[in-house]
Amino acid sequence: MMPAWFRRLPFPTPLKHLAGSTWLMAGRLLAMGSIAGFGLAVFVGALSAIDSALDSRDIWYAQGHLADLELRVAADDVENFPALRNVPGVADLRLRMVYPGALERVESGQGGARREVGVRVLAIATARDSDSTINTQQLVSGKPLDAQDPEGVVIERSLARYHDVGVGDRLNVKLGKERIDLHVRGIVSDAEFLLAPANPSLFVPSKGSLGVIYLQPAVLSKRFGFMPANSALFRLKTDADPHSVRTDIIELAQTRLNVDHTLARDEQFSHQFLEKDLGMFRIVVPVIVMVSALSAVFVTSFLFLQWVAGERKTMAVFLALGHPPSRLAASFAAMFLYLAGGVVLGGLAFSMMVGQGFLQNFSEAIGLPMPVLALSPAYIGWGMAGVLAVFALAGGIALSRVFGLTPRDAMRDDVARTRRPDRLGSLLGRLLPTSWLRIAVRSLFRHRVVSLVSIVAVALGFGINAAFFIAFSSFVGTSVKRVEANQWDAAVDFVAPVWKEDVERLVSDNGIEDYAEYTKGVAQVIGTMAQGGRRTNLYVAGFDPDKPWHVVAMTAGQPLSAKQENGILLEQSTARELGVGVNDTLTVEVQGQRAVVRIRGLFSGAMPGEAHFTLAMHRRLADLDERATGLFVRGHGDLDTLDNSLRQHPDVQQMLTRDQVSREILSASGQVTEIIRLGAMISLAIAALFVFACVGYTVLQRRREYQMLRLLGYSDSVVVAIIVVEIALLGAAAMLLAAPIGAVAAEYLNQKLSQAWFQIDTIISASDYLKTFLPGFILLPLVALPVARTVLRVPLEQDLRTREIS
Amino acid sequence: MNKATLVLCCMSLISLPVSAATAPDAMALMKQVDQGNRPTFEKVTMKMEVRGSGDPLVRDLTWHFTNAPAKRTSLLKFNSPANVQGSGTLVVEQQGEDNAIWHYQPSTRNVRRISSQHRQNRFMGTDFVFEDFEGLKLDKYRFSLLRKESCGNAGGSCEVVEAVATDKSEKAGSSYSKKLFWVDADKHVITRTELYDTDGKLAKTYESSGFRKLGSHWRPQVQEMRTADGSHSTRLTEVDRSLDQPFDAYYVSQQYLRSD
Repeated sequence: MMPAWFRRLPFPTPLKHLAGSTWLMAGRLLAMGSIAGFGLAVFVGALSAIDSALDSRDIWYAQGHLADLELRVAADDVENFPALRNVPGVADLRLRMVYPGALERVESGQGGARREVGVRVLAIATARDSDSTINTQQLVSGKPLDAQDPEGVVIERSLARYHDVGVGDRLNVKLGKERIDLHVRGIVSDAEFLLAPANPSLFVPSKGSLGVIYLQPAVLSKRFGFMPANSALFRLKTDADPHSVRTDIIELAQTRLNVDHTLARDEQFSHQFLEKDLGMFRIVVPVIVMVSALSAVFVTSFLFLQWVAGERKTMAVFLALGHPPSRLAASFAAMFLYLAGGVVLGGLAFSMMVGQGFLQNFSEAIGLPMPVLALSPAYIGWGMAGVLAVFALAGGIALSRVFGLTPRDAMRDDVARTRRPDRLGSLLGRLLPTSWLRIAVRSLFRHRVVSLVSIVAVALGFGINAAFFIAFSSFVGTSVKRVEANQWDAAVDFVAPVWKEDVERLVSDNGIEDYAEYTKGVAQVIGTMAQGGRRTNLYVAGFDPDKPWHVVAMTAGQPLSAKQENGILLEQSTARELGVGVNDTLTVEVQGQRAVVRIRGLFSGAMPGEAHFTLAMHRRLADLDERATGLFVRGHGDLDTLDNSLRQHPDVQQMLTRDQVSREILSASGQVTEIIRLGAMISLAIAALFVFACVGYTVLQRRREYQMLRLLGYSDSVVVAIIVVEIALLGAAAMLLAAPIGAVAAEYLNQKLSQAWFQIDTIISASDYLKTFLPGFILLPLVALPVARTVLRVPLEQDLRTREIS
Repeated sequence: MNKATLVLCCMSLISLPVSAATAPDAMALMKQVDQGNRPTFEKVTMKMEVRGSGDPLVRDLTWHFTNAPAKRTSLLKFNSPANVQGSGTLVVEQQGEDNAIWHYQPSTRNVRRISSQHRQNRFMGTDFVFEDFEGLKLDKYRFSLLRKESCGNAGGSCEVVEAVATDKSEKAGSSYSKKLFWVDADKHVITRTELYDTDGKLAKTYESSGFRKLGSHWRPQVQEMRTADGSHSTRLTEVDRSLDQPFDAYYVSQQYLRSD
């Protein structure tokens, strides 16, 4: 009953009536609003979260004054560095030494407890007093570096986070051949190490595998006998052409230094990893949104039509009273608009939760600081437009019925009551032994369109969800499969290039039966004059073609061959970017030496810029004759013993077995699984709401039939069972349809991800389906319970009195 | 005539007397100096003191030299302290080829080839640059006798010889525009060298003193490289020296260079 104050409001009577009628279908409208709101929330929340992560990264870059360009050279006396600041286009310069070492022991500053750590670290010291602000760290806790306290260091936050090192702790660090004692003055964050510092030189850059320690320059100069530097950080003038400045810097540096490589900000490992990882979600999110949007279109249309049908008699009365159809239509349109407004407000509120949840999981997954979520006005705008479009479409269909109403409709009966099961439904019903099963099947067939659309909508939701799990499992599975396809048992990375005789000694001392050396480094592709001489970094690994133990997914051409020393394999996206293919040549430069190489084949790699050279070619170019940066080991029975032994070896940075690599990949994937699970929960909720809104409505329409069953002596539990079975059957049919949808959608997602990242093989497993279907099987029948309760809530004698029984 | 000699820089840490007694022209004089630096084997242990504004840095090093008719090789390796222990530089001068210099830094475990352009780089925080470890490179310089004067602290009478690079790549790769040598007219050893930068200003001065005769060779006991303003210097003091006592070729090899 409409309250008196409401009736006094200065709105047209039909509008006030419709407003009041919303209470009668509040549950269904809420379900409909939730579906549309979820879609809006995922669209605005997830995409804004992705943008926020990138925006926060840029803000951190700006706060940390991250360099525009880094020049890496062989460590040299700072006095030998040419006047790089004078290169046209350079606004600022900082020289520093980045020195690899190992944190061996930590002694707690609190209780004095000692523990062995064994973490590889980068010890970084500014090479020369400078007022440059490039790559400045933000103090998180404790105190900054102080020249009066030369043994005091500050550590990057990930060392504190992943290795439990705190202010006041004493560190025993191995630098070169020396072990030195340092103490932690403070903890800082550094824009250069936004991701949990991973060591990209290792085969698997696992989270926290590398710590960062900032030292006083004196600590290094004392040990070298001079102040060494191997890294020059540049800030470029805003109007400078970065490519020509880069070329000028390299050319000047080469006059005095052994140039290793240059890295622009957007070429850094962490920058690229973030882009790739977020890019994956940019592909996945629109698919979730599309499913939500489709569901929302159907549910909204269905409910609006129900609403108009339900109000048909009253509207006919209003027509009879002289209200023109346009006024009735305007009243409905106004209500639709209010509902759309409610959906937008609710959706935006929920989008904050979606965005926060996404960022929380994502940042934890990759060790990123928590970004600040800002909902993007553009996404809000597009999202609102989408909601309005859905409501306009559904409302338009419903309003067309309003214009078709006449005063005579006040006397017509509800069409739905006349629905009967079709022949197939009747036939199936006769085949079934029990009435609760038979009635449920017949009910589904009585509302074929509603049932079919519900099945399709639920199948789409579940199928797409299963596709996410399949796609992600395929992503992880492909990575693991690639690792397992390798013919080495373990990969051993060295601290620095190791000489042949030392490798031979290491191998014989540790009982290694067979091994293959490899080299790693950076080369630069020198672009043609037409390309402006642009340089592109290649992350080169040199492998012995006669020992092809490291397997790659070839997409074109031939593998490495000893017969063609300058034949290389190139990562496919890099080849696309360079506009080259199999048999094309490239001019590459390594430490100032140029050579022409020919592309023998293309492969799918995890990171852009990967290239495989023959070992001989890379050794020659990189001045690594008789040296290796690592080796593959094969045929050593006890890998744990070997690992323990090599861990003590001064030349060994890390040994990883194939199983360890697989475990690292799976471990790193845990948090991303959580994000997909969050998406799964949303899809499940949408499916449940869909069933509630659509199937629930048809059940309620058959309320008088259920009352008849009760009158005939069916217990309440049997009536509930009939409703539960109907929804469960619908769910089962949806799952059957969802299975192929999931497979096809997963294949589509994998193709998209393969284009954006690396070649992913679709791996379909029952467990991925069960992750979605199992909760669906449990949850969907539960939707029947509130519907059944509504049916059973009405006392039987009341319906008997009103003859609401059929 | 490509008979580059390997000595500790052009200032000749090792020197040999020559028999010529008449006043030679500049090239002939420098040839005599060069020829004097060719014992088949030479090994010297030295104390290096790097003096600047703070406490002097003290290091010990051993230097091995071998001379063959067409090839001269030297390998300098630091023995102590720990921060520089194992660091070393290998110079190979092969007739008809460009000089090859490799430098090994244990802290980075990297052997770096010093290109001709990088010969002007400072060596290990000292006042030497890599090109100071190369020989006289007689074929790449024009030598002129300027005057005759006292050898200063080393005593005796010296010919002052000016050396200017005539070879294009030598000129481009060197940090010096010219060098003035004070050559002892009797011992035929270089007692003092003035090194001028590319602007023609005096950059550094090198002096040898305490010459003594080992067999037929004159060798200085103390050598010092000083910046022109005197603010920084590197002094090498002989601890032990042996000449023409054979040693294994390993001590002038890449393997020894990169050994810790």
